[in-house]
Amino acid sequence: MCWVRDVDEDGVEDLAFGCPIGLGGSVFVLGSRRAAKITTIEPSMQEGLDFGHRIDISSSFGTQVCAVPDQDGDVLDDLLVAGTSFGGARGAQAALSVVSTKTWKIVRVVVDRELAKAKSDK
Amino acid sequence: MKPRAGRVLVVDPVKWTIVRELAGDGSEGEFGGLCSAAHTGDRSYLAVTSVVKGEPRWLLRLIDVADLSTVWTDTIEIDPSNRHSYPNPLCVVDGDDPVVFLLERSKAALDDPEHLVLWRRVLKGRTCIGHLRDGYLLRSGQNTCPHYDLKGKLDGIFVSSIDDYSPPDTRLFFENQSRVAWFDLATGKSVPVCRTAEDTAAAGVELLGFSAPHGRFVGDAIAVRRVRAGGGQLVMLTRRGTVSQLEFPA
Repeated sequence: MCWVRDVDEDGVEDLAFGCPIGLGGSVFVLGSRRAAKITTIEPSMQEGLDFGHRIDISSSFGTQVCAVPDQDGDVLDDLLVAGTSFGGARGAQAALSVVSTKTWKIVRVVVDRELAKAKSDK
Repeated sequence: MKPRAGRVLVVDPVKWTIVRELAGDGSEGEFGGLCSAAHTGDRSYLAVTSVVKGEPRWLLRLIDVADLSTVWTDTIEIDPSNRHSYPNPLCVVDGDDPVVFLLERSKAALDDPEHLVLWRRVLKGRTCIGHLRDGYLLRSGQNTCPHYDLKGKLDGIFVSSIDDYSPPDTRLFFENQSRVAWFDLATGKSVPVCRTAEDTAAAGVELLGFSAPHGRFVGDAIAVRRVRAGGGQLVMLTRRGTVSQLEFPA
């Protein structure tokens, strides 16, 4: 759970919290002033996700969330979401997903170095 | 079951590469089972737990992130029946010095399921600063959250627990309930503030402390309770009790 940038532009930082269960997990974003849901980030509902690692319905997406400075070049702070990724011979690996707070899409996934090395050696 | 080795990965947030990897020595397992980080100015510290393989002992390390050196290491003896009850570290910076608060079960959970001990570890050593009972079954899944007053001084800690304890070698879960208590650092006393009694299939509780009204979030902390269907519930807390609850369906 963490504060994120003022997404709904009402003058107050907003709130994100993870639900790493259910269909792969999700992250809720709530407006602080009205305590109303702004959006739900669900990797299993995002099409075209291909970072060489699957963030899918077994991913525990949302185990931890953390606000980070802009990562995708749109000047807006983004959201870092921990979970697991699947791919390669080693099976499940720790994964960090960078989520844009403008589009709410996953823009980058970072996984365990050993998995990355195993993939680059192929 | 043989414990996995475990690691802590340090990620460069600019290049998005894993730049360092921390691991225990060969006698340790589950390194990084629990971590807590604290920052002050340009200094960062990391408290990390691990287990001693084959022995009822935990290790707690404080690591200086600048050079990844170990500042100190504590060995924590535990009751063998509490093998899966992690001591929960909370790393903060008090003034310029790193402090780790440790929530730990020193007695067998089945014998004394309501009892937890809160330790304070500074450079000079570790001291017990209080006990938590209060009629709350604080058996497993503990989380801690610091609370700072409006002047930025650490004045207390919220402690949450998911009561999903299962006896060793069984699949029996007694309950699925969430509880939160407030531990006042000035008085050394704890006060129960929140209890979710209904069966929620809770998978975890997180806490986020704050010191001033934040939109509709008025109080001292927010506890989040996750439910299996993917929805969520926020519970707003003060040191004296629950303020309100908000439900968010998936």
